[in-house]
Amino acid sequence: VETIMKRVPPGIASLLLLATVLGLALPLPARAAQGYDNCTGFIDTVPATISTQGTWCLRRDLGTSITGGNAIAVNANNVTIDCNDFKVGGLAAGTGTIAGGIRIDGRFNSIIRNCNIRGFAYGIVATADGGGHLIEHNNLDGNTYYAIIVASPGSTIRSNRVLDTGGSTTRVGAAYGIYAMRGTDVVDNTVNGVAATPTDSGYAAAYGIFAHDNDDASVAGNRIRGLAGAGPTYGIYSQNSSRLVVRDNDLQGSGGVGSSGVYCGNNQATARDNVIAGFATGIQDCLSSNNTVNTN
Amino acid sequence: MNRLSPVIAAILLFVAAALGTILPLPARAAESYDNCTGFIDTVPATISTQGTWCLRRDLSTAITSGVAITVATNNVTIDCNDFKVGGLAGGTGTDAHGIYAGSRFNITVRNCTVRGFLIGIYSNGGGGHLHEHNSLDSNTSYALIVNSPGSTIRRNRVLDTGGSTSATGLAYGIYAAEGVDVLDNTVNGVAATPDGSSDATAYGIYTATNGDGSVAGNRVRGLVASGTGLTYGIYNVDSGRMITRDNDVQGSGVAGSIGVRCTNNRATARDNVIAGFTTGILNCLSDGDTVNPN
Repeated sequence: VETIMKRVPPGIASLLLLATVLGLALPLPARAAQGYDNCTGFIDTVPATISTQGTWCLRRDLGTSITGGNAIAVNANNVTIDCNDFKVGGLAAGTGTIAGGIRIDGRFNSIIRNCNIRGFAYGIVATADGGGHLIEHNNLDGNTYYAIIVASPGSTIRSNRVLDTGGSTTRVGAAYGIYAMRGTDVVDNTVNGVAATPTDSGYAAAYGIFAHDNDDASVAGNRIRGLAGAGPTYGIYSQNSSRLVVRDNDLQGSGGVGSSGVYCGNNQATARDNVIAGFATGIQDCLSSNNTVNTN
Repeated sequence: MNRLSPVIAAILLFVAAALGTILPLPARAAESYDNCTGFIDTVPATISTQGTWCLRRDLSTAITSGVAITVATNNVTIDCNDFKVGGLAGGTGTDAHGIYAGSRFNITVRNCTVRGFLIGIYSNGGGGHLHEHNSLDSNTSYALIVNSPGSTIRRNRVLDTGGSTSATGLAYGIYAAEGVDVLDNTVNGVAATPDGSSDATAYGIYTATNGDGSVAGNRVRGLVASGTGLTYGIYNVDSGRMITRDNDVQGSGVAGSIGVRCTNNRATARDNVIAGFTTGILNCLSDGDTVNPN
């Protein structure tokens, strides 16, 4: 830069000086100034159970070494958990844990937002007998079996980062980045790194996104890569999800034998405008329209 | 940098520095009340002063007519901070509305959970409204009606609309008219109570005289009909030059159902994915759509 500056004409140098001054003088937009104004209350320790509607916030990183149960259980409808980017950590329990990070059991209209969830067998779980949840802007890292499971109709999983899922020593043979059921949209997530611990017979399947009984849903705009294992790898795997729409996803495999980019089960499901590279089979059984399958 | 002209390099540095000063960084905060003009702590309420009016707790009412929150002036933002405006206590016979603005301009409704009203969010006349990031759940006839030019309905979740016992036969997820953009919403579940003839028709998104509007990037599904009623994913009346694109529209194979319907081919449907309808696209000029007939 110094060399460049010496050779810059005076007019340009003046502009650079002006830009520097502006950079120092102008206020930057507010960023990461977490507001707690709308918090109904705070979750300061885990395990915790939320039994009152409202917005429940974190204001510090939390961790637990429980190996069963759940760090945060949502036990009322209309609950928002806003972690304000703080951590709900379960790594201390080790890879044998069967604990969950946040569990919504039979409730409606939950929002889980801005959470950093690590080291649980199940990062975020919403069971089948509720609905209308929104899981967004979370970071799920190092969860050992499923990062996110949502089985609740009318829910949305969007804009989450799902990293390095797998490694459980008690739930072996398969690992799942996102598992969505019964009408759950999966939109604009990044799933990077899924690798299960093999069974005794050496089998380990990796699923980036698994859609199960998910007819009334879209899997769209996601980025899936880093699938590994001693068994098959699937970018997006659809089971009994007849009219599922799979579109605009980027799927990158590593060329594993038996791997499949998008698997639909039957052609009532539609795959469109996906970019798929590095899978033995790009698209399997779907009605395929305008996808790009890179076989190189 | 060795092979870069010094002048070019300097210009690049200048641009980078300038961009660093002016581009907004993403806001990542939990909700703050700093910009609230005041708070809505009970309903029914009427807003008569411009500014940002906030919720700080869940609110509910058992009214069976009238409006929970009436916006009676221009340039008002209702920010519910994810809290609820609930009307379920009014029952399925309710004629009440959740949030209403009549002949007003520049109304924003944001981060609201609106439940259990005959109409969840309703604006009629006026214009320039923005309804975004709301959750509309279990409203009994219409989740949203925006009949106001230059308005935008975006990124809302519209769930389980229908069930009214006072307005039977028809139910609508989103109703937009007179030049309204409908963008990136999820409409999941529309089912009317059958009328006296045991018929019920469900509309995911319904537009009327919306030639100056786009319906784009929405996800529409879970439409249920009864009797001789039908299901329509996106139904455009007097559609003019409306554009319907990039929507995912999923039906359940109801006989006579239509995925995307236009009045004529002045309206354009492009890059939609449509599955589970008897007719995928009707009357529109269709370009690059995928209709899954399986």
